[in-house]
Amino acid sequence: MKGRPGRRTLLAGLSAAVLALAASLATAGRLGGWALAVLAVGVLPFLLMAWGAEPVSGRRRSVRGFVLWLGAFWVTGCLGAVFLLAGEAAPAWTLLGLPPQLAVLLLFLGLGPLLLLGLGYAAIFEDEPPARGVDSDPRHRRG
Amino acid sequence: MPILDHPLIAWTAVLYLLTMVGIGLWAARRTRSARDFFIAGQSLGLLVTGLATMSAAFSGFVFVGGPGLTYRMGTSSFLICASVGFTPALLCWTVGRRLRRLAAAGDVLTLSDVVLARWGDRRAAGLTAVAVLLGSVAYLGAQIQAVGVVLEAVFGAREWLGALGLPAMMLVGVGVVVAYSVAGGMLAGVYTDLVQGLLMMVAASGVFAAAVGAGGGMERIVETVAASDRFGPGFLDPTAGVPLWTALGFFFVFSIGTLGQPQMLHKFFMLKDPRTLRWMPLVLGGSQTVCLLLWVGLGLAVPALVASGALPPLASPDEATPAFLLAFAPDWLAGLAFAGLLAAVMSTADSFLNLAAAALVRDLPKALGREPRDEVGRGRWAVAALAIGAAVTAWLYGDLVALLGTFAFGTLAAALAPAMGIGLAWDRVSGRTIALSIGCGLGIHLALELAGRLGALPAELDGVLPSALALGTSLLALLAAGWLDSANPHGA
Repeated sequence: MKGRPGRRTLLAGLSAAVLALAASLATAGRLGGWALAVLAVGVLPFLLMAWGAEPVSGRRRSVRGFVLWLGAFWVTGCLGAVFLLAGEAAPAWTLLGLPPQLAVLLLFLGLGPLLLLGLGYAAIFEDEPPARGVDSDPRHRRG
Repeated sequence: MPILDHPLIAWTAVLYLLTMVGIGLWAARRTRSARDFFIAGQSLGLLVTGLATMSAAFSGFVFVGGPGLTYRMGTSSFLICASVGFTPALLCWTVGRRLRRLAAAGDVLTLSDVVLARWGDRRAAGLTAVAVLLGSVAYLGAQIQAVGVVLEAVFGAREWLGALGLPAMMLVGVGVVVAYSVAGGMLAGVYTDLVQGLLMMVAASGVFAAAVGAGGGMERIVETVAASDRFGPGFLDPTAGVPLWTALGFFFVFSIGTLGQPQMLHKFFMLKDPRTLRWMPLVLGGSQTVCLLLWVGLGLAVPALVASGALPPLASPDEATPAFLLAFAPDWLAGLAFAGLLAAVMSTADSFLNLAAAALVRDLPKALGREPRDEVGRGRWAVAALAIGAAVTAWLYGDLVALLGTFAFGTLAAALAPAMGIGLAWDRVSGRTIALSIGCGLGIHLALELAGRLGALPAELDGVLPSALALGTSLLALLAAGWLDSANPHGA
């Protein structure tokens, strides 16, 4: 497991970030409660990614990358929460002609692939550092 | 709508159907082994695999059932696709490489083979085959129902065949899919999927533009829907159309549940170079997002057109897509879009025919300890028999395309997602635990669906999606039993 982020660290980090976001939303009444529940369900795929993602050859998982990736998700989530709260406070307000609740959903549909896949691999995985010490010496390599 | 009113649309559909049969015949000459028939000879690159995965995943469920479901329950239905931003990454980076590695290491052509190779447990492999068989037949049923709705509209079959129009057109659609699936197996399947995937993306973009234009722009569409008595402002609020637990269930099942969909997972076996998994989510997620434009566009525009009186109220919500195309799209676009709809339906149907045939002639005999024989020959007969069985299932089910599709997706998700998503990555989980998780998911989902159809579900479960409850239970069963396996590795 050398060079790979600890599973417990990742799970704790992810859970803390999601709980922080959920707690900030929970003050917003009905929509806040709804958003809290969505996040509780929505966090599962990200926990799975943090725990089970496998890089292709020559790369390894990066803690910094996961934090960046989660940050992008967090920013999108906050943006969504702002729209939801604005829609609750001012029902006549629209975004591109759409009611805010619908705009949030479409925002996730459109921005999701951009943020999560665009940053995705480059952020989550990083190049393996060159081998050092005994392993880098061809005389000591086995097989 | 008689065929002679729109000859261009009808001829486009005929040309499309003939092209698919042609690809099937071309592929038949290149199909020589079970490896060619079931996993396309493990020879596919990034673009072919990515688009074939998208077109196998996006079916009549999305192109016909999606706008119909929105017409019935409002924008809450969009929660089904809200996870499209991360599910491709989840598939490719957590499961894809492990499946490709197992396929490269041995005689692995199906998910049941994966279970046998990884855990050596015949009960778990047998349950996997049963889940794939049941889910595939239900999914096939949804596709056959959707192809019937589309062809009935294109050829105006209701006017000249009456009530027999829909079953007659279902049979025509089944005939074409069976023709190229029997002839070319998965090799025909992936190359038709590639052509179909490109067609679906072009059609979805064109239909989205036409739908927004016909409704007078997005702002006008929203105002018209919100002001109407039939739909009202609640239609536009994704949090208001269905109970909270149903909405959450949609999101849960269609995000985590993607990990149990064999029509997508199966494509990873066919990859020539596993390094292409790095960019696969971009191809898969990007193409899925483009195709979803059709659902979003028609899901909003058709209710607005009905509310303004420009379109009569739909006899069945499933008619949303064909009704819009025949009434508002120019003939060239309608022809292209109908070909795209047929493509969406058939690309999924051929994948499921292949998967169900493999479960029947290869996986179940192996799970029972028998050596499968003449897999290609028997596979071809199984494809034909399964198509007929699925057509009968669709006819007997008699509900919306999207609801049959949700049942099928849920069956596969509840049974297989925990095993594939967590089981494959967890070193110490045992075959017994995998069998327990698959059995829980499958049994609970089928029991709840049956109770629901008989009206015997307790009031406490009102609004709870059966597949979400079954998936949650199988997930917890795997985690609990897996933890015991880890704590006591020698007892497993």
